[in-house]
Amino acid sequence: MRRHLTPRLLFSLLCVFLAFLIPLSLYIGVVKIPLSSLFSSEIIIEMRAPRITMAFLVGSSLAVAGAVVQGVFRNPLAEPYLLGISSGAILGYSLSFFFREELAIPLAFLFSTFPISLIVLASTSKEKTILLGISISFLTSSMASLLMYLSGERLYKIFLWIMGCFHFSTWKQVLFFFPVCSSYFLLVSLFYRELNSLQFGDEYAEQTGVDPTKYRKVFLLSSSFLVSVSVVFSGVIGFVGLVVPHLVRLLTGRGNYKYLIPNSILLGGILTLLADDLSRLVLAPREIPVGIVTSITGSPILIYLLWRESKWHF
Amino acid sequence: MRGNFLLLTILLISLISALALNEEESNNNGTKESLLENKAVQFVKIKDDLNRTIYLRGIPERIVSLAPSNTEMLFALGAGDKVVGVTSYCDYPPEAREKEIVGGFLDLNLEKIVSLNPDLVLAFGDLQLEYVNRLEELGFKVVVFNPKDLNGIYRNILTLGKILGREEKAVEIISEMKGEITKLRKKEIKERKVLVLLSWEPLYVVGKGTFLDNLLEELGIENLAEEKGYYVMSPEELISIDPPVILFLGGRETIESPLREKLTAFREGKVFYLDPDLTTRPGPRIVLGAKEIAKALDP
Repeated sequence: MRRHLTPRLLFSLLCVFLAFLIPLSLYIGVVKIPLSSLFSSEIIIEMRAPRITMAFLVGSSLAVAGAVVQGVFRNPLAEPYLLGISSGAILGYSLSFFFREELAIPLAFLFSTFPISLIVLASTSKEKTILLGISISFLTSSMASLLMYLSGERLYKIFLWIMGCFHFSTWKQVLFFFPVCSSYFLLVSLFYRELNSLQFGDEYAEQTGVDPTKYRKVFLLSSSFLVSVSVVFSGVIGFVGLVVPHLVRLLTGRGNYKYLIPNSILLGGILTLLADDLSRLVLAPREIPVGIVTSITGSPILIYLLWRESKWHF
Repeated sequence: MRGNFLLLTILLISLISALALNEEESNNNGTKESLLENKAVQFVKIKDDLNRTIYLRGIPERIVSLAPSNTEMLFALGAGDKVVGVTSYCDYPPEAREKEIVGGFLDLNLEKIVSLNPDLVLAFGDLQLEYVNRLEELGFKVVVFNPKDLNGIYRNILTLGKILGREEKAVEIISEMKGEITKLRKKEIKERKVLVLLSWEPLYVVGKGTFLDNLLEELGIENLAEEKGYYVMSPEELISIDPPVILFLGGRETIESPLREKLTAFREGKVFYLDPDLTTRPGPRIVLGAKEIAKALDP
């Protein structure tokens, strides 16, 4: 039995799958649009199209950021939200209810990027970065919990936001997010060799002429910035960033960033898009927060692959 | 070095796009304003509860209501046939249930709303702001009601009457409501001190500054909750206040709690379960809610 796909084959398969998934995602929804007016309907053009674009882009961003963070920390449990990005954003978002509600998005962005930038710039080793990040994360998340507790009837709204949704995606968001995430993809693709070196440890990196501290800062700052923007637009979508890189590694059997990045872009985007489709479909006209769907659908896949990988026993 | 440079580029690109977005927004507003000034004659001008001046062209024929109280106002004004979409909580009058459902209160389905092609969306409160913004971006007219007291309800009914070209009917409804409230106020009510609870666990109470607090005030009843807004009270505080009467608006819920024996209201059978649909919806039926409260306090 063939156990692994070649990275190129996986990439092609994912492309084909995506080609089918996009029209399908445009078509499904609570309002039935006849096929003839698929490209003239306002609902398709102004609502579903930006929505599925954002779902794909945010999903791929989280997946790549996850892959990068895992390599940089040499920790398979690392995920893009690890250093308190999400709890910072939630803190900022909840805080806005006590000042001016219009400030929700800027505050969420400020509180998610500011602490992590300080941490990354100030710390000298990767252990310190993780420990500082986790301390800040605890601090901000408990402060956010306090605000949520005090926020009364708004609690439900914050709760919905935390679980993530693409309900309010617009072309404006796409216009903003696309350059941000594509520059990030470009950055990490250009530096895939450095990422490969970093994932074998600082000593190995130094031997191959890569300054681990400097590159760690570059990768972490850019990842955090990207993830903060994604949180601000679509809430906290768990699981994708943690698991998609592992899925790609398990499917292809290798962890070379040259292949890991493009495959993570596609698989992360596809998985999130699929989750968003399900979130619109299952309880229509109600929507399930997409963060819940990603975990419910993604976990069994990971469990299956781990099971297969370990030769039919754990 | 290469890394730092790229990072800077990313930041720069995002900054530029953010600025571009802002620019676009301000331009949009400008054109809208000038358009309105030119054609102001044809428009009905109203002010909604977000303090926005809104111009409506003609009388709306397809209305989506995003709250039960809004739905009840629309039907009370005789515009039920113009309602094309409601929330899943809109259950009064019974005909409202036959309308298309556009979602719950905070989990609305934007696609559904857009597909109904409304010429007016009647939103509620400050929790639906994202929906309001998005719908307006898509070019829909949205009016937001958010009454904080009885006068706010009257004002909403009047505004809606203006929008629908039924001001007389609105004035009629309001004066009827005012009359009923005055009648209730003059009634001999024995118990004048109450605490209003929305749930037992936690003890969610109706505080000062809420429209229910205002309703109690209008009826000449004192609300024993001292803090502002809706908030959670500690059991100790409840026991120390020991309200002579508890009005419970969270449906028919009974508790087996050690609190029971410690409270005078329970011992004397002065815990009243009132219909939350009548008492918590800031619409025309609030008068019936007020009657329920008065009846409970003066059996």
